[in-house]
Amino acid sequence: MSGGGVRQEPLPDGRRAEPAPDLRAIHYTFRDEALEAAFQAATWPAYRRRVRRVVLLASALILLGLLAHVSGLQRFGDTPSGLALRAVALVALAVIFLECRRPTRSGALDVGILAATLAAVAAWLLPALLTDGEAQSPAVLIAVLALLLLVPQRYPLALTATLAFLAAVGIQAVADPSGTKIEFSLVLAAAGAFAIFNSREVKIASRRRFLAQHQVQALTQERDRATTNLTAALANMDQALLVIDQDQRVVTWSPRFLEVFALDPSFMEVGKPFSSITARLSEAGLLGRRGLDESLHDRITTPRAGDRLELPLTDGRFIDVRRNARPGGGLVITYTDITDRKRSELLFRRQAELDGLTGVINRAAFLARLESLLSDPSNAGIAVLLLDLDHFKVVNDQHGHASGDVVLKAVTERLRRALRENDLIGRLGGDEFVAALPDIATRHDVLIPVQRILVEVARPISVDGLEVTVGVSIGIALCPADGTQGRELLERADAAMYAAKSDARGYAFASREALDEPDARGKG
Amino acid sequence: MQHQFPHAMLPVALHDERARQDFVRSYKVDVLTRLGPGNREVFDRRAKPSYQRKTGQPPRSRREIATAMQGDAFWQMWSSLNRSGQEMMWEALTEPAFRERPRLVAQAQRLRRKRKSFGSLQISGDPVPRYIAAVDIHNQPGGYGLVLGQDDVYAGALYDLSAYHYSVGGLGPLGSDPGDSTVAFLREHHRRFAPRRILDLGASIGASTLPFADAFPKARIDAIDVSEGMMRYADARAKSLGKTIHFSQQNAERTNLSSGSFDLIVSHLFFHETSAAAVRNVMKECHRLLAPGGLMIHSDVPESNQFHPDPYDQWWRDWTTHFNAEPFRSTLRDTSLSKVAVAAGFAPRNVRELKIPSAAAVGVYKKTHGYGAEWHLVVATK
Ligand SMILES: C[S@@+](CC[C@H](N)C(=O)[O-])C[C@H]1O[C@@H](n2cnc3c(N)ncnc32)[C@H](O)[C@@H]1O
Repeated sequence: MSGGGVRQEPLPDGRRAEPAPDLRAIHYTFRDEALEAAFQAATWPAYRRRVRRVVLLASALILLGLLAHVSGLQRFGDTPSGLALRAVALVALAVIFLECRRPTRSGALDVGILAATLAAVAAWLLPALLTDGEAQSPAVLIAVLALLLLVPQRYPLALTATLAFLAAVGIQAVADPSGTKIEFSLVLAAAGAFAIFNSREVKIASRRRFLAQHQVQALTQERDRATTNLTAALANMDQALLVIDQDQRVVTWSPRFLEVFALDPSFMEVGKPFSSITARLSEAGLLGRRGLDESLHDRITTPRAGDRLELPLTDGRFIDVRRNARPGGGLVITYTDITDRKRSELLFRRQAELDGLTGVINRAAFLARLESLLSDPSNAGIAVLLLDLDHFKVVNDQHGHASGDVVLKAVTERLRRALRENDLIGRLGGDEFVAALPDIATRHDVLIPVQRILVEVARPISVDGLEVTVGVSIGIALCPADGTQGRELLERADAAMYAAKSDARGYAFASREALDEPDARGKG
Repeated sequence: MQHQFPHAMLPVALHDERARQDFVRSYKVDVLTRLGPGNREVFDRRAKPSYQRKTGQPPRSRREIATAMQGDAFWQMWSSLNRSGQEMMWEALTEPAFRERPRLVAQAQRLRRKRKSFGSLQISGDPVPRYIAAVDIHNQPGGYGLVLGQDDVYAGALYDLSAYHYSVGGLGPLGSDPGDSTVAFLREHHRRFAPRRILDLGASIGASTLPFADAFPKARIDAIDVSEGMMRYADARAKSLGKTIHFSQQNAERTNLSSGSFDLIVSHLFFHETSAAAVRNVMKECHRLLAPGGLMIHSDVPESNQFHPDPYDQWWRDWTTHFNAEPFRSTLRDTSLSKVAVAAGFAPRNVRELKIPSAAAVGVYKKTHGYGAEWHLVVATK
């Protein structure tokens, strides 16, 4: 049969000794064996099933044609059995058509199939209609030819089918020039369908499709695997991660990010402005009640690449924040909880700052903190008090150093009690203490704190069952009236303290004492 | 000007301290009487026209006057001088008071031991109300609630000195003029009235309480105040002067005294330093404590807006609210105490407000404060 040539093409199981040298063969079998196996596993059973169905139907049609021929039925239309046969043949053709259409949905194939099927139907029907079944006129043949040649030119598949069909018609014309037999038409139609079905195009197209699907799948799998790995890595990372784009909007974040800042998962959304996160954190009080100092705040709210900062949270944690540029704009920000390290650092530093005996800060630390107080513009004014114990030497001499230590500790405690919580207390050494009182605008404001200290310190202190009494002389320097530098204020307060030693009140101001003559009022 | 009476509890100033006090007093009088009127000129000639130019109309309320004046250089300078005077005064008084503190504490203890028969003293140790703890009223260092140690009398000692210096002696050598004036009023208008139980509210150091002891020797006199420093000092002071008063530290808004047990309840210079809510409560408490037919008299500075319709005067009196830590003063001037008394339960026809002349009417006081040496009384009978 004419369709046989097509059927002899290698089937997709294609175990040919050598891959075909021409390029199209590449599409025919996959060089990659695993891919080929996958393709066959995916398509071969279905393909085989379909081939079987088409072969079956085509054979049935041929059989039908032969039957009609043998029973002398020349024309389908004139008897009931002829009509029935025609109907059966039509249905079979339709099924073949649909079957052939299924392997691919490429437009080229559809048109080819359509053309071939139409040709088959025309070849079969037209003779009967136009010539009353007697014979197929050459005019009709020419018309069918023209139709067939016109449509499929651009489509190799359709061309193949058409050629197969033409060959069959030619043979028929040669074999039986007296008239076109209906059975021949049927045979030809089946052969055309076969030609289409087995065409290289169909096979190649299905392979292409498979390949495309396969690649998409492979890529998807690859991506999924990567994503899964990344997510797992992010989830297990100690660092928290936040990615924002060039408009400072959230791109992605790690679960740890939510943990570090105690954020609700529902709060985070892709596209959320970064500023709304910082706003939320301040709202939650994590960034400090009075807000952060401004430069830190700026650096947090408008981060720049390459920036690094240590973010102190109000719950006592410290977060190390690093930002790196993100390819294509924006930032990759990592957050590391460095609380432990920071704590030990701070502890270490604090210990170095503390006076071992009394637990208040030492001279160097006091000066450092005083400087930072002085540089705080929100302070209305600061009073620096220099306190020197009276009669302390006597205690030391009469009761021993251990008693002296008890007295110093007691005095420290009383200073704490007399002053406010945010007042700074330090020990300069020996029996000299120092204090800094923020928010003192005038001398009037400092009177009561100073008097409180005098009263508190003068109360008897019990040492080993004995009561000892020490006094204190206080020199007071005010910032800004007496100076704006820490050392300067300390010096002024020191000078005032000497004036206070000979003043009945027990305290003296730096500025007035500088104007006054040395005071004749001795301390009672 | 008479000297302050040197009773045994008065801190004694040293020579230098006295010089400083004298200076500050003169300074304050000068700033008030010589420079103060300049503000009126500044207002009329400068601030008012400029305000009118800007807004199209002259300032009509005290708030608008405040807006008109706030940027004026003279006013700002004057205001700082006045404030500095106040701070200097306190410093000058603090010095002798603090230096004398140990002696005064011991003195008070001694008087309590030696003069047991002169009245009594009860200290509850309760903290002062928040409206007192939160401010150092008229910049008194530490405020009324200050306690500097055991048996402390410091707040009272400071107050005693300040009442004299602040008023430039205008309250008399014993600071008793408000009480003297009330007694004089009673003598004149309630001649037959012979109270057997008298209560003085917000008595502070008892300066105004003592005249009642002299005027009604048969009556039992109670005096209360929230400040323990005041009460301890008041007790010692009264004892040193040989007067019998029963002092107890209590909040006048809710005392532990029994209902209907007083024939006369008085207060002096009390309401202008008391929150509006507390004033309402005190009135109610007075109504509770008074016996039927009893008399209630609250005496204070005559600065209520009803006496001063000129918005300039009203604004002028706001200075102390804004710059001298007297947060309740402006509000009180807007308040009708008669209405408060009626709301507290007194029958409207039994309530009246009037001004009475100061008993002492010392010239300087009259001049500096411009109050015309008068007191503003709210009088009510139950
Ligand atoms: C200006 S002083 C009174 C002066 C005194 N009455 C005189 O004439 O000398 C005001 C006093 O009221 C007291 N005070 C304020 N609120 C009080 C309250 N709710 N209950 C009792 N006393 C109060 C204060 O402690 C303060 O001592």
